[in-house]
Amino acid sequence: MSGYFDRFVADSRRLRTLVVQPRMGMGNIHTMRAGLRAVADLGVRAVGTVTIDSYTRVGDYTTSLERLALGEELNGYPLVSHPTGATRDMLHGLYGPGFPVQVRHGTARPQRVFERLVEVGLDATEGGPVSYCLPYSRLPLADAVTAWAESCRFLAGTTEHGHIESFGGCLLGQLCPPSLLVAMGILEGRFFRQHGVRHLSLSYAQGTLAVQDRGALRALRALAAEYLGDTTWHVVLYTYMGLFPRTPDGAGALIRDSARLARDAGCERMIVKTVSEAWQIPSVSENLSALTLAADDPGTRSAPSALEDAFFEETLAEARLLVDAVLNLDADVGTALVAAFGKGLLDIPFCLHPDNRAAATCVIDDRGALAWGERGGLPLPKAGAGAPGGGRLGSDALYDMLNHVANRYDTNEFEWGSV
Amino acid sequence: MSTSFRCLVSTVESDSHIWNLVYLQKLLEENGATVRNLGSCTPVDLVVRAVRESRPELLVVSSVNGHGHHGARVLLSALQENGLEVPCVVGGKLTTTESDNDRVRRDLLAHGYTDVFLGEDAIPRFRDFLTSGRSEGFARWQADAAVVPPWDATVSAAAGVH
Repeated sequence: MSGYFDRFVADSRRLRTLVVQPRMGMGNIHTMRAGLRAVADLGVRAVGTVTIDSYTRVGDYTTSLERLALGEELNGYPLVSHPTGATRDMLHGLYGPGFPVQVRHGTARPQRVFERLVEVGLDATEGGPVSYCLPYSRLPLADAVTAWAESCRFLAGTTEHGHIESFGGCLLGQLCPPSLLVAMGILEGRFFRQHGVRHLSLSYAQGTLAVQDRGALRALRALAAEYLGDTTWHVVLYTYMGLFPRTPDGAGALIRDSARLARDAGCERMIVKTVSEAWQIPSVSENLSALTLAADDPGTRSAPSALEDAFFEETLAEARLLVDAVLNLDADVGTALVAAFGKGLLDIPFCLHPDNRAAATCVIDDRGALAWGERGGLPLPKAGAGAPGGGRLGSDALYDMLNHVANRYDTNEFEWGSV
Repeated sequence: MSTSFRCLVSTVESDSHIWNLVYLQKLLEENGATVRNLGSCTPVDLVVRAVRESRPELLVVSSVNGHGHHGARVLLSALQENGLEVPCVVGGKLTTTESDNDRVRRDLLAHGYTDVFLGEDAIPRFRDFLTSGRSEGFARWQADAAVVPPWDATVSAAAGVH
């Protein structure tokens, strides 16, 4: 049964239509249903989202219901805490071939979430042993690898078309060179595949420069075809995940540029942000506006520039070096991932998790592209002459990098996004 | 005046964001702090243990996921129950809407936080706090009184009566 998610994306690809998807999770069952209904009724090709709350994310299944009982709103839907029947009712008449629903959760130990999502009749979710551990959790990486292996086998064993999207193309959401994002998606895809999951998607977070992102997305597709050839896969783009522009014009332009990037790069699906993102957790109507904005952009589909080709070649070469270095460590992908972080062959810039070296750093170069500062122990060639280099990054420099995109869009300097 | 001070950086257990913590560590180090950064999703017990072990001169709690108000209360209560007294400040995005800021700040100051940094000018005010705290001691900082919006006046007047 089901498999709605992959079929819906495949149909949309044939129709040359970008599937759009909001971030959405409400604590209250009726509010959650109303939110999903509003997305389903919007008239664009959309996938529904049930994002779980942050208490459930860390394995606390009681506080969320206590806070709901006190009349407070949660930042997500407590899928494990609400009764199974209540969630089935919540989805009834909405979830179907024309409106797939994905569970988004952010947990490093996802067994309970996976069990419950299958119990309520769903089969699509996301995350990964690295991408939901190092950035978001205190759990040792080796434990997350074991938990995810178990969860993948559970999903593969209890559903016919269980789907997992690797969050490896997002990691900390920003300030990560694209080659590491691409490599991590491929590696988590190999991990899912090893544990029986055959329906995958690979994420990629919009960076700081459109031409670099287009090159990187081409590299991701090339490597996915090569390393995940016997699976069903598609690519999902995330609208910029860092600090969002504060002006409505700037925020709208950034959302439109991300939709254009998704179309130009042949992405099948896109997760949108909203105009109010800089201020608060978005309302349903703000989500609807963002979905419409993203669904409306026609894209440009211009021929790749020489600069795009250069970014493609660079990302492809670096990502391949990273993937091969890791896969060659062990026949078991999970063991290889743990060993790679131990040796510093994988190293996520700025990540505070104890299992991450944090010797590698990321900078924004003169072109506005994401680049390596320090390369730490990554198996990459030494930086060429004239590369930005790391040095000691102060709080002001970091602050500027965190605000780079928001500032550019807030001051109307986004017109050159088509470079 | 001490030129360096020990500072513990944490968030609340439900908050997985890290950029606020990475940024604050750099900012604190530049202002003379030796920082122990506990990272994201810090369980209350871990913070209590870390305060007991490393005896920081300042605890900085930062949260941006919209649930920090509750978590910050729970954290400070736990420190108080364990008899641990340390100047502590909290800031970020503590509820799901900005309009709660005045109410939240008032509540957390009353709960015992040395100061609460929310909204547009949070970082400049935090810098002022650091400058003053380094020379005068963090415990001597007097936070500005929390703003009471007119529509909350009856509530606070009633609270004042009790």
